[in-house]
Amino acid sequence: MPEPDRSLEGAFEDYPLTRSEYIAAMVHFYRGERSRADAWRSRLDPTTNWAVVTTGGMLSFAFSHPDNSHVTLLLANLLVVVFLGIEARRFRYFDVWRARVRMLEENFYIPIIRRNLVSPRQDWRERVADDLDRPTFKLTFLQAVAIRLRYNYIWIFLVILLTWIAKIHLHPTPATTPAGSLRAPADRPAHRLGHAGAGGRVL
Amino acid sequence: MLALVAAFYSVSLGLAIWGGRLPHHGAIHEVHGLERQLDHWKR
Repeated sequence: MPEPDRSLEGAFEDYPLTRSEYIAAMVHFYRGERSRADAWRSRLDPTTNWAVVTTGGMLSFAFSHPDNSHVTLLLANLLVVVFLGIEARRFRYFDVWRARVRMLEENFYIPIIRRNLVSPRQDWRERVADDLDRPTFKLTFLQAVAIRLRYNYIWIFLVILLTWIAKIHLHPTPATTPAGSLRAPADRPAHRLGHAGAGGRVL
Repeated sequence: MLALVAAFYSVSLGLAIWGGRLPHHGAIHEVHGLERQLDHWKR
């Protein structure tokens, strides 16, 4: 196919794109969207780090002295929830760019790699163009929370739960039975570690 | 307090299970779940 004569260059819209121009534009577009997705993906890790460090600090404080309240661990849950909220918001933004990247990979690159120029989704260009015109989140906030919870935060919450159970069992004095963990320190049998104990009542 | 803890962890576990079932991986053009995400492109 001969190149159009552009010696008398008019407005950009006066000439149709050639095949190579179209592919070059799509390649640059893909690289740009990929870069945005990577940037937002890298923003997901710090919030998880904050949650892990905060949990570690709270655990360290709670177990540093038998009289330190077990409620400290429950408050750690609140902080971790805040970090989960921040991460879910960031995940929604990441998902916007990732969805575009996946749309290009599936519908533009797969046909090229297979050398079978049939896109799995025929209307993908209109969808991507519409999304460029009016970017939309592809996930709700609650969905983003659930996904981040499933892959990261549920394990942090479980660690806090297990250590909370250990805390109320061991401090201020070790309980003799699992049910004894739920009693207030004053109701517990004579302590073995020599601490009078002032931990809070659980029930 | 025990009831609060139980409620918090019940909700968390429920959300996590739901999050694991949400369409999150795979091909957008495939029908299993990610099709629902495509509805968001139209808005």
